[in-house]
Amino acid sequence: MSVILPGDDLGISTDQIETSIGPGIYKVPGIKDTKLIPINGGLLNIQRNKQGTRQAAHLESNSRRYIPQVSDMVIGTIVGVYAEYYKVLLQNFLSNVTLSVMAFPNATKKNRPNLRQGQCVYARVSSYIPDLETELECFDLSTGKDGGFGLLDESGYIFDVELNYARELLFNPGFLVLEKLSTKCMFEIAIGINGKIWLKCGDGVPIPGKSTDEDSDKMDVDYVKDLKTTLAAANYIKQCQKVSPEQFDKVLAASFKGL
Amino acid sequence: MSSLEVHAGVLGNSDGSCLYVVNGNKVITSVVGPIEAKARQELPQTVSLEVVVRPVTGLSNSREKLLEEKIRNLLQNIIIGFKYPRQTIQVVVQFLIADGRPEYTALELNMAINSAFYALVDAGVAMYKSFVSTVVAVPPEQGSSLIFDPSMEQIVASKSHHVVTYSVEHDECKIILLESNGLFEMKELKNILDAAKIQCLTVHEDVQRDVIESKLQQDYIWKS
Repeated sequence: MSVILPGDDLGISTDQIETSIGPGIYKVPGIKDTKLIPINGGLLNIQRNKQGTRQAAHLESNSRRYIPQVSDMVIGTIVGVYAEYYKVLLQNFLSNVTLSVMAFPNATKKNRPNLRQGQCVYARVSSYIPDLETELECFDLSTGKDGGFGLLDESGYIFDVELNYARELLFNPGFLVLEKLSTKCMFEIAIGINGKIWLKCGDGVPIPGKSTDEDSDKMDVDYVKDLKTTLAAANYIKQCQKVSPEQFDKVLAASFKGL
Repeated sequence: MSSLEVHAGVLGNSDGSCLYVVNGNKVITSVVGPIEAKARQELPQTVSLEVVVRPVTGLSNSREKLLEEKIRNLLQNIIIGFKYPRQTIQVVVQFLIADGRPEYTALELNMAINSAFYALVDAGVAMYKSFVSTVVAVPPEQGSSLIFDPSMEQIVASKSHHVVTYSVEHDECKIILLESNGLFEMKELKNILDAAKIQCLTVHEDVQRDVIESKLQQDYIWKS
């Protein structure tokens, strides 16, 4: 992969071959010949099918600002509750996006979700048109079931990571960070590619106000342990974005020291 | 020979940033965006650019406002605004050390433009092309060679000095900004522009590419 700056020659020929372009590459609208230009600084990535009839090109780069794309899986905070929809914030200072109350599994006019301000949801971007408000949905389109989407438990811990790192964690099954973490503890994780991760180890962080009377056999000590493990795991995931893969083990040991 | 140091992505809380040090002058530039626009600055079809220039000491006045306007006009044609309708991009240029003489803005303008490039690339803002700026001073002695990235003393002593910004697109360069000051002739200016073009292309290939490459290496350090 080669480093590309805005305005460079991409060296992609588009005649004879069907081309799809992804992030970082732009086709100037209204011009007849298909001239593709890079618009970010990044690493060029081209994939071709075996027959050589199709290709997909994009620039791999990191940015801190999240721009929605359809079918992105994201974590958002509810910042407004209205009769027909919720207002959701995906990242600080971004425009709010909408989540319709009908965009939940089995939702009807009578059976509607009951979410409050400040709660977080795992959702999928269902429509993104820059000129209009972005929309989210909280169910799996193919099955109509929840598919892991929906309200995120308040006993989990949400923290921010770099956007490119979040993409790698979510889409690359060969990426070892989470596999290594599973040797230390049990965890439940939701990765939003808007750079937010929801993490819960064991029973997670105890919710203040909610007393432990439901399962009274669980001691305060256990809650403290789950809390500590969650924080250690979050710390480990955050630290790994700054080191090379050989050092993951070292970071893991350091984060879980004394646990 | 001038000394140049560029660090991209130095500010943790902004979307893109750059610390730019040249000849002992220092500027830090941050980019935030695209973010939600305030109602009064929202444009329905394109991005609204907000450029803020802050001097080393004191409050900004008309001198800084003029710089802001020049930078904004330049960036407006470089950033692909149609990708971010109804959004705002904020560019803040904070000078840390500058040979501040109220009557000369060449060095500051040059630093601001160059640092803005790195900060915008760091933020991942969509741009049609790259751009490089340089300052050229014509020394008073007849027949002596041009000075690139001069010091403030050299500028004050010079016959004329020019800020030249070129956009770079597949080795094709276009002038996108020219600020000249002093006495010069048409023929002389042509030579200056040609020399500046070579200088800008060199900086683009050697410095800009290197800085972005090392930034990418840092960003993808966890990749095996």
